[in-house]
Amino acid sequence: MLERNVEIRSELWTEPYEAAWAGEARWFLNVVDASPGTTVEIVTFLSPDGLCWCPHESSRLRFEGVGLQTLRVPDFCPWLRLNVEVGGASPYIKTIIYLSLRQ
Amino acid sequence: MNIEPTERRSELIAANPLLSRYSPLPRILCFDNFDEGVNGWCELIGNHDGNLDRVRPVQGDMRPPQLSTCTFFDIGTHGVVTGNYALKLQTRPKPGHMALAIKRLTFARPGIVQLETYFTFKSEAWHGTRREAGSFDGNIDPSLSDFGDFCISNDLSDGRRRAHCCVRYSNTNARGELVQKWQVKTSVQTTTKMEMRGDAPVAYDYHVRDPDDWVDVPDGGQTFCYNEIPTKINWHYLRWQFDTRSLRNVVMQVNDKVLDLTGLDVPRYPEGYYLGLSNMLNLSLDVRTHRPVRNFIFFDSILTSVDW
Repeated sequence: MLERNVEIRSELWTEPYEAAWAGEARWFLNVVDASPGTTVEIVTFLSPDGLCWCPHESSRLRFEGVGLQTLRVPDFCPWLRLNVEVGGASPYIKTIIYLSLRQ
Repeated sequence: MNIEPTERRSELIAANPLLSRYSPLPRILCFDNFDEGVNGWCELIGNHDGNLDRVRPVQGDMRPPQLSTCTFFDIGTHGVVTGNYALKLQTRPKPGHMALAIKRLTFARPGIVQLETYFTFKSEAWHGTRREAGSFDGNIDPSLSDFGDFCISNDLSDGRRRAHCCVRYSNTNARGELVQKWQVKTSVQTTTKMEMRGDAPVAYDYHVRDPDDWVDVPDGGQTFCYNEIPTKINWHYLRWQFDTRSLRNVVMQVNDKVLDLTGLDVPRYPEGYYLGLSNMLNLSLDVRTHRPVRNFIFFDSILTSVDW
C-alpha cells in the first residue's frame, strides 16, 4: 500500500517504488470519498534510476466517483510511480492506493 | 530440545557461502535471503478500529519495504553482497519522516536472540548540480549529512512484562549536524493505548515519549564506510543481541566496533498493562531523515538465531 486515505484536491505523486523483480504490475485505487463531479486521471510513470520520470506509453485511466478502480502496467522496469490528477468544479477525493506486483 | 554447537554443525555453516559470513547462535530461527522475497518484513501500522483515519500519525505512514537492485543513475545496477536483491526501507523526502519494517515472531523459550545482517545506507542522489554548489571537494561529499539515523529494535513481552530494546545510530542530529554515534533510549515508546487514555502526549519520535529521550552509548562513536558519494555502497556487518529473560540489550557490533550494552537500562511498561502479547518477539528496522531528502537503508540478508 503506497497511500492510505490520502486526500487529493489537485495532484498527487506516489513515492518511487522499485519493481525490477516483478513481471506483472497493477495499480488499485480504492476511492472512499469524492466530491460530486470530481474526475480522476491516473497515469503510470516509469524511471530507470528513480530520479527522472517519463509517462508510460499506455498505462492511464480516467474515471469518476467512489469505489475500486484498477490499472494494468504492461512492460515496465525498474521504478514505478503513479500520478493522480483530480478535476472538476470542486475537485476532491480520499483514496487508498495499492501497487500489486508479482513475478 | 537444545541444539549444541557441535564441530560438525560449525563445519556445515563454514562450508555454506550464504551462512559462513555469519556467526549464528545454536538455533537459526530464520535466514532472510531477499532474493526470495521480503521474508515477512512488512510495514508497521498503528492500532485502529477499521477506520484508517484513526491511525496515529507517528505510526500511519511507515512505508512498505522494497526489494532493491541498488540501481543508481550514474552506473545502473550496483547489486548486493550475494544475489540480486536487498530489502530497502525508504523515507519520504520530509524532515522527521521515518520508514519502519517489522517482522513478527514469538519465542518458544526465553533466552538470547541475535540478529545479524550486512547492511548499507544512503541518502538520495540527485541529477545535476547540487543545491549547495561548490561544497563538493572530491572526497567527502555533503550528501553524508543528508542521512539522519537508523534503529534496530524489538517489541518483547512475556504476557506480563513488556519492553522495546532499541539501539539507534545517529549519523546526524535533528539540526543536520554530523554526530555519528550509537544511542539507546531512556523512555518507553508511546503506544496507541497510552495516547488514547491521555497517559502520554502525542508522539513525534516513534521510539520515545520525548524526542530528547536518548543517551549516548559509552565509547559509542563510529564512522562507517560511506565511500564519498551517494551512489557507491559498501556493505557492513552488524550483530545485535538481546535477552528475552531480562528484556535488555546485550551487544551491538558493526565490523570491528563491539559495544557491551548489558549495563544500559531498557525502559519498561508497568506490569500487566498490555494483554494479548504472550511470548511476543517482534524485530524492527527503521530509517529516519532530518532533511527534505529521501533516506535509504539496505539489507543484503538477515540471519536471526537463538540460544534455545
